[in-house]
Amino acid sequence: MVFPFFFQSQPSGSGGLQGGLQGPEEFTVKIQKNPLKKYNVMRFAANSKVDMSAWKEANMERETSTMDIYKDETMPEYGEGSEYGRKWREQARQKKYGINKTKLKLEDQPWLLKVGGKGGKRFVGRKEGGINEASSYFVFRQTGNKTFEACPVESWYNFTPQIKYKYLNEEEAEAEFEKRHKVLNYFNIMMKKRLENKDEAETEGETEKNVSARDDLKVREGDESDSDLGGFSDDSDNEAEGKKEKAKTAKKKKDTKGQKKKKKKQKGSDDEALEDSDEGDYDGREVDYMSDEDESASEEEVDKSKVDGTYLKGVDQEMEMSSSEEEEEGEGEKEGEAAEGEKTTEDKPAKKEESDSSSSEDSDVDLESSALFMQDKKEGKLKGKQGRSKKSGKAGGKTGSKGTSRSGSSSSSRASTPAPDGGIGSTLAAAAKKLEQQKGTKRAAEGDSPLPKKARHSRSHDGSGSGTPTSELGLTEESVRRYLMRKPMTAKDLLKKFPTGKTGLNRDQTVAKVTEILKKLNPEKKTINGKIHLWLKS
Amino acid sequence: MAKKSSDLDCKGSSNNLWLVKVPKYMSNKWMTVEDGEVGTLKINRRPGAPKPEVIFSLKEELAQKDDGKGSSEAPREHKFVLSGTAGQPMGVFSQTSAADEAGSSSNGALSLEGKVAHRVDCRPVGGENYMKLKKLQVLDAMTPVRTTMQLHRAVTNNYKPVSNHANNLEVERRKKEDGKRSRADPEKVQEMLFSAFEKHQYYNIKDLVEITKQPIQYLKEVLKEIATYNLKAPHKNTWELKPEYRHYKGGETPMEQS
Repeated sequence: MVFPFFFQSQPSGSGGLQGGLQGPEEFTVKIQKNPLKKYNVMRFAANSKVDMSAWKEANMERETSTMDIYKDETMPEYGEGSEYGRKWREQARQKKYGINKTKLKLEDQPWLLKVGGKGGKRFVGRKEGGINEASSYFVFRQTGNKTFEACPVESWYNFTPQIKYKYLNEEEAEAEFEKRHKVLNYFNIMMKKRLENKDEAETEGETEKNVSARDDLKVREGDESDSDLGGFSDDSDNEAEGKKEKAKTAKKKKDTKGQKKKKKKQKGSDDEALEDSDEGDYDGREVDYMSDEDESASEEEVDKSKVDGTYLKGVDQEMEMSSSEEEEEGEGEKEGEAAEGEKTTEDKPAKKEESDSSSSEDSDVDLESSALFMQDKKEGKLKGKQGRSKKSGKAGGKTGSKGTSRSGSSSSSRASTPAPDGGIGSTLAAAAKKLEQQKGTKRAAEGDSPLPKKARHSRSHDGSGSGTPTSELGLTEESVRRYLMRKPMTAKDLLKKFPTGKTGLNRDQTVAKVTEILKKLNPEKKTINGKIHLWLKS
Repeated sequence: MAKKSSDLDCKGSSNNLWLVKVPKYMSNKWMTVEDGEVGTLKINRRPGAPKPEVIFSLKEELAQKDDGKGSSEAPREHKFVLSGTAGQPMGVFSQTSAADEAGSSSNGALSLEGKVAHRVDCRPVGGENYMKLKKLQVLDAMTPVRTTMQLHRAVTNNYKPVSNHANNLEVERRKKEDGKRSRADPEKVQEMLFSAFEKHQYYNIKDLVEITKQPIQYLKEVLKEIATYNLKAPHKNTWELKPEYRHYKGGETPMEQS
């Protein structure tokens, strides 16, 4: 075969054969009509790099495996097993009912192309219809120096790589799609956990920014309007705080954090303090792999605690989690240890109610129904709360444990609070209590909104009564400084961080206090987006 | 390695080909030619343009020829617009079938003719000829496929008969001929049955009646001796020979066996 230079369509002038520009070259076109030889086009996918010139051996056959379906079940025409007049009767019957049996043509079957022997690629070539209706295709091939041979193309096949994995057909896909909100999707959770673990590994001592960024993986709690943490900035603040604490138990945290987050997602409903989810909202939801009170529950419990504690994982927390596997009642023990005093009592009724109201299914339902959405929300809230408190890691841990217990109660059947470690709990009782009180209001009660609110109120009362203003109320110079150091905020945002009611001060008082603190701190003023932001350069 | 009929001969895999899209009127003209020349290609390579300019001129007589498909006035000149494959690898393969079975894909020898280097579009260079052609085509397309014709004479060959004449004749004939079916010797009847069962295994009673031309009751009696009535699926209500009379294909001389 001659390959004239012009095939490469380069602006080579007259090219190699003759020097200098010449006039157009003339070729004659001949039609090659061979009734026995039929030309077909094979086209591959646009982005696939298929180099036909590299093919050494190839094998192509018609795919007949699907043809048997349509094959007539023929009885023997004569002899044994046959019936007299069968064929005619069948035909008469089909005509009567108008059954049209389309005969399968071998020419319409797809091609099965195997390139490169046994281990090579396989393609399936499907016929493309309608190419010969409006216009005809010809294959021009250069034969000789000055002639082209044109052959008509009979059919066109599109070749795609053969799929070897299983996939869902339409109905199955639709069914799965319907279930995506209803059934807890472990795979998604696993993937998220993996991502988070990866992130954690990368950003062990990362900055706030990174933290915020990481949380971008999840739906932010700040997306909700009713967050009392005031949105995004809160989260980041809290995270920063949490981070510090986290550093204390770095390794363990890493392990459990992902789980925590995972669990948090599962038990989103538990942490929603302010979520207005009604009693029967998630009743109908289903659960994957219902397991009754075994490790999965306990795992969840464990994770939940981790989740709640977010970054505030105290040693006690770790120990609790390691010895997880407890039921709600276990929670009771935990309460004792953690000395979650009032909170405990608050918790108990809440929990009891939880357990009563929520059957195992419900709890599961709660878990699942909360999609990541709720979970993140909860988490954010938690973080917010944590951020506010200036508790130590231990305290945070306690909080976490509290959260755990709470979550445990919410998912009565499955959840199990981590086995409370009596010794540790008791020692941290006071701190836990404080923390509890502090976070009480923001803690998500399990599921029912009225309960948490009740608990919250009671807690807040306690908090204001017993705790030192500095630690509980959060409206201190230290907290303000922390906020401002982390990122620039407007004064309004800053105020939002200390909502009235929580601090026990009304609006004016809060404002006054904040201004006082600001005067002390004297932060820098930056104008971002036309608004003045306060910032403390550390 | 043994050469299978499904092997794709890749010898020509590095050939460069053009895949040219040609309008119907043109291809119709081309196909009227018997393996001969249809025109000339003028390829003009421009220094500035990446792709050469290609002009196809239809042969004189071909352009004038009326092939009866309404494409008599084809324009003479056409531009071939070259475009690369746009990233889609394309190839051409051919099936060569034996002389007697043309077009049977299962028998054809497959070979890869080459890969497509350019996709080419054949565009007519405008002109009066082309316009005329298109006008004709449009008029053709506009004519309705179904028309209404007025009949001048009423159709008289399918009156509803009072009684079916054909049927009547048939019935009369039958009655005359067959009368009541006479009972033949049981032996003879059996012989007939056996030969019938040689051909098929299952028979409907009505079919047997027709074959043997016996009255139905008598036939049933004869049948009871040598055959059984099959009620279950798949062969609904059919008679088949008793197993002892069956031989291989279900028909054997009774004399030998019974």
